[in-house]
Amino acid sequence: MLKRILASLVIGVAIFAIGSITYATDTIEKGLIDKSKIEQSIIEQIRTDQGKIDDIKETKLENEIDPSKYQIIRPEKDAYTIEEKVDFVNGIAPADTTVTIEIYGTTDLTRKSFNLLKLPSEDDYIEVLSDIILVGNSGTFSKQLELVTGINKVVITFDADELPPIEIIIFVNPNNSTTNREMKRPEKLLEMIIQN
Amino acid sequence: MKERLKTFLLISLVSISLLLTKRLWIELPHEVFGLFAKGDKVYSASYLLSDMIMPNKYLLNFNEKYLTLFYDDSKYRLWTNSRKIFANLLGSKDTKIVDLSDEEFLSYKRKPSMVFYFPEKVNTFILAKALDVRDPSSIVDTIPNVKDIYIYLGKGDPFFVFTDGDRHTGIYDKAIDISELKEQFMEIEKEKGYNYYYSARDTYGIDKDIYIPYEMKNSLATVYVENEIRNLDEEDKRKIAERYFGKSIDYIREIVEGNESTIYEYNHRVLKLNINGTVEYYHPLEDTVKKRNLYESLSTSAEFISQNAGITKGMYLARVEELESGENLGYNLTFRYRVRGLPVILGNEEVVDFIQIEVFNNHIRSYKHFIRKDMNRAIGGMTEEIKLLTSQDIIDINYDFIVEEYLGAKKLKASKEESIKINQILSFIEDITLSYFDPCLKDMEDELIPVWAIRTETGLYAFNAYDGKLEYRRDK
Repeated sequence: MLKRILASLVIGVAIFAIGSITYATDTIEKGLIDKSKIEQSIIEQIRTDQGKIDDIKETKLENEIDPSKYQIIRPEKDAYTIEEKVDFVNGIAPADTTVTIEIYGTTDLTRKSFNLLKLPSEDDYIEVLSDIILVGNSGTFSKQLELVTGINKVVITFDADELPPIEIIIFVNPNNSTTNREMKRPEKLLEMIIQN
Repeated sequence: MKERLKTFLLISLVSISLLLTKRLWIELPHEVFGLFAKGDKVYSASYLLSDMIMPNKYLLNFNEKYLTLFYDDSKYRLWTNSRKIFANLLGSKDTKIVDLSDEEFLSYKRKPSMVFYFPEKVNTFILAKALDVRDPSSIVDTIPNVKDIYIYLGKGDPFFVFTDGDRHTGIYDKAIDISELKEQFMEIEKEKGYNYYYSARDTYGIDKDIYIPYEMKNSLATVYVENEIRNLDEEDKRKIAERYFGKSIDYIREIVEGNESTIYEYNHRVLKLNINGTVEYYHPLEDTVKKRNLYESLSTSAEFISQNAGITKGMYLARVEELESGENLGYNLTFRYRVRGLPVILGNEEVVDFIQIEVFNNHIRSYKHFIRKDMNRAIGGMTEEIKLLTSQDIIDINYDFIVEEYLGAKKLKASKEESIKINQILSFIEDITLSYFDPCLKDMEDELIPVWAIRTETGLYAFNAYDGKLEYRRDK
């Protein structure tokens, strides 16, 4: 009995399957559905899918940060000494990028006499300033920094997750002015004049 | 009776002698100076010229990092204090002169120094004469025109660099005393009351001296101006005509035009006082002038302006062009003026410059002036001082516009892939100067607008220094 039912089901399914194929073939042959239209729709579908894939790829590329577009032009060094309490930052970044500039100073109440060789620990720093700059259409930004005497840590963060913050250590040492100041007369002109 | 008559006569004689002596004492100094003036025309002319030839900007390099730019010299009077130094230098016979390359000159600019920028190239001989140098040294032959003058202010002996933009001439004379200027320079550095600037050459690698402020600490004074010639009654107009012709109005022909402009004519000379505030004067050439002399032409112009228009404070020589009219050779001179130390840009469609003169040595052929005077109104009730935008802010706000102008000038098409970089734009810019813009809308109480005037290869653009709006443009 079970064998008969199974055989009938198989035959039934086979008849149904053959019927639907025959019906489709008949319909196309009869001209009820345009063959070229089907091909066209398939091509369009493929194109749409390809476009979506390209868009995804492009978005992915756009989201990938090009570090060369985010640069600090000035200062050129990561750590240096100056005599004045004013310094400057110049840089480039794509328009509308937000750049956060934070300045941390040290009170040095503990008389640890910090300098570039003896830097403070993270706990010794106190935030002096935090400012957000929006990069203009020219793709440049600049900022005048008001520093404090002693060690200053300037942290520059671009609004781009992949890029790490840039840290600059500036040692403001007013006593440096008398010893280290570049006020020498250019020698080359003097030599040229003497030769003449 | 006879004795009384004698006494009366004696008293009369004494009174007359007293009166005449009084007149003599008052008039004598004028006549004495008048005699000298006739014999030494150069002196009076040089006095006027020295006021008209002065720099537009002053760059102070304290060291490689700190530098500032002054547009207005009224606070520190750097030019006034340096005149004597330049006069000594241009008159010295003991100078050593050497040509410098661009690189050498640039390296000196990073040393403690001061640079004086003139609005246009100045003839070095004229500069020497304006500084009252009787016998200029060979410097005037070595470098005939000068655009900027550099003074080294670091340790050791001073030296100078005269540059016309292409050629840099180093001049050394240890006898020149610059100690006072150096002291003043150090004092300014110590005060720290200046705006810090950066060099676009050092920052963006462009091949031009453009300096951009990090911040602007202050605002500019609100200035109101008025037409010098406005709402004049008949009597005032006639007085002006008498001044120009040096004759009584009885000898001068007067014609009033329908538009209320008045024309005066005397002995082939014509003066027109226009309703729009301009004054025009014309005097055709009487003799042929086959050789032009710039110094004589400038002196003639300076004296003419002084006698007729009166020396307006802040007037300066902006442009010198050679002029040829038939067989005659002369100059077309343009004078502009500064208000509160800053140059003024005129927004008048009809009159671009304040004074235009056609001069052929000792003869003024045509003269046109449109003077707008500072009304010196005290502004009260200002609650909050608004800071000026920096020139970088102006470029950022108007970046797309400037890029369009750049692409138009370079005959390039905008490309989506390749954006125009800041160094390309800064290379396109020739000069950035803080100025006042005069919209020329009213005869009186017209408010001047503080602007950043950006001069490019193709034109002049005046952007409002408070909101960045383009107020005026003039194509080259």
